[in-house]
Amino acid sequence: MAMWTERRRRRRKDEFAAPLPAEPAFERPSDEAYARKKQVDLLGRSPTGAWADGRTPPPASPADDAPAFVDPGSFALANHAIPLMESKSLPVGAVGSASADLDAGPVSAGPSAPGPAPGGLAD
Amino acid sequence: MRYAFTAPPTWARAAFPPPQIGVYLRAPVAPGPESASILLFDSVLPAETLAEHLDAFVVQSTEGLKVKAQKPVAVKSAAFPGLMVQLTTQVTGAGGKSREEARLYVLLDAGRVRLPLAFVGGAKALAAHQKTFEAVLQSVAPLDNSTLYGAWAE
Repeated sequence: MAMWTERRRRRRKDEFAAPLPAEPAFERPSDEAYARKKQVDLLGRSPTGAWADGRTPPPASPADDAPAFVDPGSFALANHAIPLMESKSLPVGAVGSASADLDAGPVSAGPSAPGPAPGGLAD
Repeated sequence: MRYAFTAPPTWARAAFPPPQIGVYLRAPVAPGPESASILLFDSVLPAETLAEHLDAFVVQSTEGLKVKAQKPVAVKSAAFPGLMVQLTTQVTGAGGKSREEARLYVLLDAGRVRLPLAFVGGAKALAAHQKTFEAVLQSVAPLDNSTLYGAWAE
């Protein structure tokens, strides 16, 4: 008889779910609720070079974990910089071409003016 | 950087094929020891001293050639000081024939940038055209952009 009572008690325990905690939690913790992805590091992705050093830093958000929106148009305008067009390498290829061209056929002066022609070299 | 120069009146003139930037001037003489060309290159950023930069220009453009170079001399254009070096070299011309070539390399110091110029000619080209090259060199000056359409560029 005692054995039957013990079996019944065990069966009752298995059939019921675990008891609820005393105070149920209706909200998640705040830091989890406002967590958001980190912004892409735009400066790290831009080309490197001397010209890049003069750019202004990107507009700072109020806080790293606060919700913020960086307007891409304003960011582009604030960080617009014209790269220096001068190259570091010396133009040696053209010298070889000019050397080879000395053996080329007759040269015509073309439609040049009678006086010295002004010229300019663009960047 | 834009800069102005005065091209010799009878010389043929052409811009470098893109994407290169520069002006090619060719003497109006038949191919031979007096044929010559002047090259005006785009500005380059300074590297090391002017003498070392000019030396690098010469070494890189005469790679694989036997060169007899003189000492660099100071030159001055209308606006910029610079250095010039004269050298002779043996190159293999058309038909595999070896011929002597005279070259002048100039590097003008324009402050923020440097302006390379070169003269490439046959064995007798310097005697015939050195004054022309010096006149072109002397005429190099900043482009006058003070008036609208006051100057043009190619």
